[in-house]
Amino acid sequence: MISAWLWRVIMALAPADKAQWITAMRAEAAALPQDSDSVIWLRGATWAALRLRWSDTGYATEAAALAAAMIAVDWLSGAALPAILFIAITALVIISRCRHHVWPATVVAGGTLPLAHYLANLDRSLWPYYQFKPLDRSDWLILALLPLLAFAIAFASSRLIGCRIK
Amino acid sequence: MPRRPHSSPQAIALLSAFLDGDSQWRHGVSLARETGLKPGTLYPLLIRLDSAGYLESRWQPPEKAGRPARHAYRLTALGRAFALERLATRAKPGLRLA
Repeated sequence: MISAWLWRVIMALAPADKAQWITAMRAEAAALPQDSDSVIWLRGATWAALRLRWSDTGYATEAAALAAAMIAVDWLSGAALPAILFIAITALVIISRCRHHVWPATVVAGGTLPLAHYLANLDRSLWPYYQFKPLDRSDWLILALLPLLAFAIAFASSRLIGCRIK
Repeated sequence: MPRRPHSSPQAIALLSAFLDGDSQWRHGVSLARETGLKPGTLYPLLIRLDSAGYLESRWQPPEKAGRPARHAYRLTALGRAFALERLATRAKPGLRLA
């Protein structure tokens, strides 16, 4: 009874398109000669469901957290070096998951700060806090270069760890 | 050096078990027993191999009444070629530093 309830919880943990794999594990657990071994399969299914869930949503969570952290660092320091370092870290972390490859990594790593600055400039009440002056030509040049930097880092790291470029 | 996909010792053990099975449909329990992999390691590997097109899977009717249908797996032609290539690469002697 408890076991059936636990299996239902595990099924709910897994992404819907991968649920058949948890069903398969449940069927294997039912085929075991000894009930004691089924605990190992229950534990394994929990672990597999969590891994599947993380690989399904972890990318977006990680990218959003990195983008938020990047804006926070930029807001608090305002200096170029921490921002560039963070762009590099973001590109490396995102591409290291080896799933959505270079372009999404470039968009998040290189696009977050230009977009944040652009939006901050739209709201004049934010200027004293985030952007002290309207963006001039050199600012736009720097912001345009950031995605290129992110792309270069994402591309280089993807080659390094053997991801296919998409 | 680029990381080679499905080249971990666990993946090699699983591919080797499939090759030993000689195109027979295999179940999770027998694969876990043969490779020594725990279910939580085995199934994510199976899923990755399946996504890469190296495995085919099907639901088999239960052997006994009242038991659920079981999911069975075997290598595709692509998977077989990949497994042979991986095992051959693995068998080559490594470079000596001294």
